[in-house]
Amino acid sequence: MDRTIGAFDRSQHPTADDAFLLSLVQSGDEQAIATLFDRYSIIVYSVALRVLSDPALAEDILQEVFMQLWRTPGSFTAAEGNLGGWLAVLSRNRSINVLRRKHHADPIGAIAFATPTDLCNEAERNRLAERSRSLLHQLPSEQRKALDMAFFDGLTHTEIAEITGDPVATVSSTLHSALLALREAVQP
Amino acid sequence: MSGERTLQLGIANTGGTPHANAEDLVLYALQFLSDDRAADLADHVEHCDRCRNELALAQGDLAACAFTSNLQLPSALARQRLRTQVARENHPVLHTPPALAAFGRNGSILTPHEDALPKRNLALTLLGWLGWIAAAGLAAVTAILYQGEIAQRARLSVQSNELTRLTADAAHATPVLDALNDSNAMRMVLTAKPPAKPQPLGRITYNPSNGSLVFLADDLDPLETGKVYELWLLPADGRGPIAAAIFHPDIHGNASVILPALPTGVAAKGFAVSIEDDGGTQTPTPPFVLAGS
Repeated sequence: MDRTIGAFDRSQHPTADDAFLLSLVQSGDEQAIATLFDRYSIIVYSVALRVLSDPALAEDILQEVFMQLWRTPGSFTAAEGNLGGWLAVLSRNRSINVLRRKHHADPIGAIAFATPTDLCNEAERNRLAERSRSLLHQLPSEQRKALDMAFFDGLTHTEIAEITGDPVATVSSTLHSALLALREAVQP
Repeated sequence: MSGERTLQLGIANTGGTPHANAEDLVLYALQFLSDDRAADLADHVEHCDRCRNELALAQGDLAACAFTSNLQLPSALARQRLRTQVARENHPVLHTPPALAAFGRNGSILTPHEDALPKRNLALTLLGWLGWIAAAGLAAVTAILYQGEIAQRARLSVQSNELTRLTADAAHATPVLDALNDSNAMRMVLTAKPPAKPQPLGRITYNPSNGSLVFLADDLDPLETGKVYELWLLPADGRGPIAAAIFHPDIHGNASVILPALPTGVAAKGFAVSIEDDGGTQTPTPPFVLAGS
């Protein structure tokens, strides 16, 4: 079966929405996956690079994530408007697994994402990045460090507690508070 | 969901309906829970709209966190690599119903696909595995070859850039050498401008009361044969110049007149030096080569 069928002009249009592009990917449109790559490769790569600090490994993660999208696009349809967030978090999880040398199978699935931001839109993505970074700098030091260690360094709440000397429950609460603050900051 | 599992999860009891602790949902989204705890939570979330929504919010928070990364573009090669791989895997698509996803371990969600695979007989299963092993081997070999090709391209690119730079340098050097070796070219040596010739300078110390005079001169021009320098006292009362002495400079242009015979009590308005015939004269011949008052 030729997966290049169904190559509509909109697949080459940078403003085509994710759901439409995903439907084209499902029908085997190579241009559609390329358009999604152009849209989200920067965040997928940046997250992987932040976690791994290795451009070659980060590009491997980038390749894995988009090949997963190409091979099983149906699993991503539930993400729809939040495909960018899904891919970013998937990149983080894959990178953490590499960091921890985990080799367990990563079940392919569509994690529901609730975010007020339409990540299809470049301006919205930029706004999200700007607000998130701004908020991160305003967070209390212990929240910022905990979030950084948890999300980008892949340290579990238990490991963070060992490092900081805080009780595990305190670390969990700190992470939760930091994410709630982030949620409020990115509200339109 | 059993009550025992509820306790293991630390699920809060709110209004009679057990719900997952919000902090546990964050840890679940971060994939920090143990497999057992994650499985328990997944079971709960699958059947609890409220917790499923809360988990979705936590996932959205993590997406926002991801966007705090410093954004950096991957190399252009990465795009080409994806397109090449996509073109290679030109196979039929598995359509997965999106709405029937189930939560799996470590915060991921399993598609029903993975739970609904048809049972096969042993021979078919073994045959299938052999096929997968062969495919995996082939994929590994392909990956190794591909990596080699990428590395080779990178080296080629570096060498190509170096060659381009050296070629440019050589192209620039050739006309320089040609210009230096051109037999028709005019050659000359340029130096700094020579310093201006020092001007003659005379210094006089004169006391009219006793007529004592000391004259020292520098940088005087050499004289023609039969010529001398003559020093004149210019009286303040308007009389004509009084010859004070004749002298010759040395080879360095230096000269001196020490205590010549002069009348006493003659006030001077100035002094002057002229060039005269050998032996001197009683009336100066203009122009004065030195004069001062």
